[in-house]
Amino acid sequence: MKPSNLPAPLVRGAMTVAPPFVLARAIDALLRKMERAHPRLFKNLARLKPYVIHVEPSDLPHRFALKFGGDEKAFVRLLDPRDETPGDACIKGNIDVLLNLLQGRIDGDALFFTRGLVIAGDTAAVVALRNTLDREEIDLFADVTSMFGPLQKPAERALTAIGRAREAARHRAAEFIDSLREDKTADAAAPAWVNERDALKAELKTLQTRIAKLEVREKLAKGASQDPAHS
Amino acid sequence: MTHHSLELLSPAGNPAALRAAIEAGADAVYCGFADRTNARNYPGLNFDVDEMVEGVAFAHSKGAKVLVAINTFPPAGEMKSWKDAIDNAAMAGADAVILADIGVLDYAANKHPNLRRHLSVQASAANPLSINYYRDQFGVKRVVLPRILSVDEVAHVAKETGMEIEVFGYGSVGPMSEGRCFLSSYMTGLSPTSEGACAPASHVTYKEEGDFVLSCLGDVVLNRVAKGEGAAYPTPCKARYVACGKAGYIFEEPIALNALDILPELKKAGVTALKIEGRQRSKAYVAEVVSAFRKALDAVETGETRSTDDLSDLSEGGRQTFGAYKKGWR
Amino acid sequence: MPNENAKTAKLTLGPLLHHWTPEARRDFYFRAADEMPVDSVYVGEVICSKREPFFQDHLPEVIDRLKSAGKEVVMSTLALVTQPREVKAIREAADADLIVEANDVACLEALHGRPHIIGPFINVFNEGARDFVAKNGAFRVVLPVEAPATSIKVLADNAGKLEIEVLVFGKQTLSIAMRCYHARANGLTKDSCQFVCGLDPNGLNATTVTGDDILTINGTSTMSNGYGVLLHELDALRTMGVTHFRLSPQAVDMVDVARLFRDTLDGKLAPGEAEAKLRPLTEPVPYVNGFYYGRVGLSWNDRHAA
Repeated sequence: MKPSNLPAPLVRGAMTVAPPFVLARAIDALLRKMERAHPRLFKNLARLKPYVIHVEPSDLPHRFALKFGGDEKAFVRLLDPRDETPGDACIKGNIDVLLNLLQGRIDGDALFFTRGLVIAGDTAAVVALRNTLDREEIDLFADVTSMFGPLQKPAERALTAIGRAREAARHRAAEFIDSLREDKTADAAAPAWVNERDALKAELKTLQTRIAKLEVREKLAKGASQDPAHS
Repeated sequence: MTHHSLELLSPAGNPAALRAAIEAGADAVYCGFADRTNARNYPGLNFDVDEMVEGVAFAHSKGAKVLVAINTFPPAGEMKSWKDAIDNAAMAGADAVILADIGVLDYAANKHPNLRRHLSVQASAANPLSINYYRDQFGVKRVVLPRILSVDEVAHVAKETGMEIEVFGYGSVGPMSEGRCFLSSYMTGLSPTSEGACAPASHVTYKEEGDFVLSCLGDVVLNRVAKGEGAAYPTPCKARYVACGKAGYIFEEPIALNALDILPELKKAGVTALKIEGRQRSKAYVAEVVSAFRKALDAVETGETRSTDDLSDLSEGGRQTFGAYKKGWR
Repeated sequence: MPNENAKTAKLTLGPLLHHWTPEARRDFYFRAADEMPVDSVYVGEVICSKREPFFQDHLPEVIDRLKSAGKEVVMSTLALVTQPREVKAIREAADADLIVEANDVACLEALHGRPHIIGPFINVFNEGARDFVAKNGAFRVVLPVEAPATSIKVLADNAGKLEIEVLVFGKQTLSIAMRCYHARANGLTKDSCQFVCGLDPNGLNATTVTGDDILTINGTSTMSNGYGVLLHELDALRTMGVTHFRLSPQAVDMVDVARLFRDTLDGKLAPGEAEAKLRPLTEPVPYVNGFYYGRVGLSWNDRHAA
């Protein structure tokens, strides 16, 4: 089953307005909830080497420390703003990207070529965490809404509505961007300038190769008498 | 099932990815044990023995196969882990093992003659003579061809050897002859051939330098990219160096192989199985790439022409290539 | 016992990996025959089959000269075989009347178990692989450049009659490919290469974007920037059971290099003295020995001083 989207604006909003102690308590509750839902995840995290990773959402006033490995139970805590102790590694990015990472939608390779995600420090710690999260089907949506207890249904409905509006907007944006893509418009009509462009490109390539060949010939002519002991 | 169609072979870095791949339409998956016996030995990745047993059972219940990669080269005096891996793959009921080392092949052929043996791309067998050697000496049934041959060369090898041929259809491009590239250990001291990790994350660092980011492997600077510029994972063969007074990707651009649009040509060349690279990648990647290839392969079978899915967002550097399959790559 | 080993320690001249002019190559082998204190000389092209025709006509006289000087002559073969004409060349080399160094498994198939040498481009990293190739006709194995001392020790120990060879001088080949990077760096491709690799008798330098020397491009191969040098380790290698010590031809005075290694093997020179004499011959190229110590390959470890 495909996990649903937990709307990032809502998370951002809630986390910005919530006072630190409320947030800390909410994190504890979510962690306990996840431990019940994903015992294997916690077992796998404990098996890793011990690491502390700082998570710094660029669009939030808070930072978090995630501690796992070394045969101890993993936990997350809110970092005191004055706390300067560095972690083994640090992940920076906006809430949207971080939520995708947590739910296994960004992979080990993409970690390094995804815009808007900055990894610093011990890269192995982040890869270990990413790979371990990927072993689980994590649906934050379900985990968060189930925390509302009797209010789960209304909460789900509210979240779904926000999520849907957001998805629709995203879909429209994606369609628009698609329509701007050069290859798609070219495929559709293949106007004359495309052929001309390709012909010119080919000609340029041929000329570049010819120049390179001539340059090499010149170098070889000069270099033939060179002492091979000269490196 | 579709008997004569190309077998679609998906990576599975963990049990969740194995299920995702099979549900997305993979005919087979390949995976490895969580140690250095395979070439994707990264922290948190791969299967323990119990997970392998469950994975094989799940795959078989869905009519899919599981191939176990045991494709690194044991260092002298340390062959036990590799022998254990083969014994465990046999015990788990794996459909084949993918091997590269002569010593490991010899062990598997003698100890488990009925366990199917495939030759890993790590063995770098790129011509009919080499392939025949592995067939004659170790009873290898299938060869995974290096990502350095053109479609015509693939066809030639298939014809000359009569072996099952597996080629890469999607993922990272390996410009070097694999299994004997020592660039990563030259920079990190850890050998991909025996430790199973090229450019291990433990040795990768990023340094910010104004508007640029330097990516380093060990003490070696592999690239300087503008923030936001597409860049590959920092391996030595996809780094930017300066030669002849010019800075550039002297080995390979940050680009992904995508053979989605040349599947009929590969089939005609005599290819048996199409492999997707990326056990280190997410189950989301696996699901998306597998279903795109499933659709395209089914279309090849029915002979219909349809536009293929766009996978460029999943590609290294966001760019794609036919790699060595088309002339001119060299 | 060490004296016994000293007598049997053979010095070899590995195949020329760079593309020198036919004349330079011929003269180099003549000097090897006349002046170099080496026991074996490996000839033949390992890196690129396109280079082969250049030297074809000179080979017979070079081989004769080396043989009459009492050298063992070995025909090294290609490290990466893909083209049908390369397969044909491998078959011919295997059938010719010379000892062959196999660098691609293709060569083993063509040899059909006839006695041969396993070159450094065929992975023999463990006793399983070693015993298999020995059973099938290999009488000598040149270990991969990446093999650390811990592996060399296991492989050379209990090797029986099998001879073990290790590279002790020269740039270490780190990878081989289908593409020609030498051509690519010059704006050309392999098919239109103009033999541009001939411009650089010691390879083409590649630095990092921050300007550090790091790699050497040599045709389709990539090498270490520094020379691999195992002078201080010769004694340890010999004790482990290594029988052959390879010098890889570089564009330096190889006769002097060979004499320094021979004298060190014979105990006439201390390793430290030999290194002090070697440095001026090879400047400004740095030395590396990291693979031997199981460390970062490009590092130079002075621990032998302890």
